Amino acid sequence: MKVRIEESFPGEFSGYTPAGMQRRADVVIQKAVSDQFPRGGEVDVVSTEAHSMAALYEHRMQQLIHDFAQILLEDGVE
Amino acid sequence: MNKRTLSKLAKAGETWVQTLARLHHQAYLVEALGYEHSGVPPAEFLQMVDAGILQPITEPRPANPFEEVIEAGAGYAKARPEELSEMRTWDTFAWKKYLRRQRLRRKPLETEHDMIVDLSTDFDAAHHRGRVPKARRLDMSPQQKRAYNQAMERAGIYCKRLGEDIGAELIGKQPEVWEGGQLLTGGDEALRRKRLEKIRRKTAEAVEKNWTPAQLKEALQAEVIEATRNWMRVATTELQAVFNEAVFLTGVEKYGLQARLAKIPETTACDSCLGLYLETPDLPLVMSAADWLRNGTNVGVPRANWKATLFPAHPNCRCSQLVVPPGFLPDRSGNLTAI
Repeated sequence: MKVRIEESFPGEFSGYTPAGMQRRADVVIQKAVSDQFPRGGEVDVVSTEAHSMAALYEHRMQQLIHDFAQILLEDGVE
Repeated sequence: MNKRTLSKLAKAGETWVQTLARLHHQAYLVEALGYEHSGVPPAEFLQMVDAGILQPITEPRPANPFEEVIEAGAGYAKARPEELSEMRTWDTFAWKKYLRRQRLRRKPLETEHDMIVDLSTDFDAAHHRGRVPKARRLDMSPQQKRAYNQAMERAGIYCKRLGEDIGAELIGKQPEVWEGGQLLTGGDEALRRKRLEKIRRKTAEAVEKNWTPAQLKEALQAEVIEATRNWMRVATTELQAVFNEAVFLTGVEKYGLQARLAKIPETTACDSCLGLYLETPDLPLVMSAADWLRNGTNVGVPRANWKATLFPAHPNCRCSQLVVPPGFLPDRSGNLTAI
């Protein structure tokens, strides 16, 4: 499985040794996995709402890309 | 949808791709936050409905995600210590049930002049099917309402910038959007350039080889994933910010500026947050509300100078605020113990 780990802010990982980076990667993977399960508590409310906003956004992006592809290929290039 | 329809909605100097990206992002704001927070002028709203970018809204919308989180934060901060440990075990469904119950208990407000904005008078009666919904009543304290409106404004600005960025990427320009010293859209420059090149290549190939729209859409799926990931980061950070503010404001309402608050690092908190918010590995740092306010935010501040702040220390931070009543101390997982 490939996992892409992104800095939360520029330079977050710059001070890490390879071993430290590995530990950090383990934590990120643990976090990604834990997001897939109900965690309970107030943290879950924030997480659920963020996911619902992202799902709606993804749907809207699908429509945007769909319209872009359709107009570009049916109306032609400028 | 075609270029002719888009040209009617275009702003001066916009290409059709930029118009398309802008309109879809505006439509998203209407759907996600509600019309009144979208910043879309009434006439443009109706044009978007006519163009099929937006569905007419005829039903009162439910609470938006920010309202849900603020209400959850306020309810959490009002809870007694013995209730709090139980609330921490609730799942999303239990929280939703609690929030619904809280709303039903509320008495109708006597004055609603600053809470209901009826925009329908701005419209031509012929546009019935594009009726703009009334803003809903917000049962929040003036401070909560201010925090809520600020969060709505920030979310709107971020979303519009993402739209501008995506519009520019699809036509082959690449703006860099920075906010408070942080790159808003994508953190890896090499990766972004690679992605941009891929979009250009796929688009050129689609035109040259007469692809169907569905084929091109399929080829651009990575763009959808990347944009959603960027927005998810903004949504998580902003929702956590309003949750923290709601807890803070409720604590101040109850105990004044001497209210004691902690920030409980999330289970998988980064080293920076552990250092900022824990006094010892098992004891969160407890400070007065006045001290939390004094520390301001870390936006644009070098990491070495970060302070414990109400606003998330960094994007994607999910460490959450907790009111610590007099005579109690919090543990690492946010439970309160009498001292």
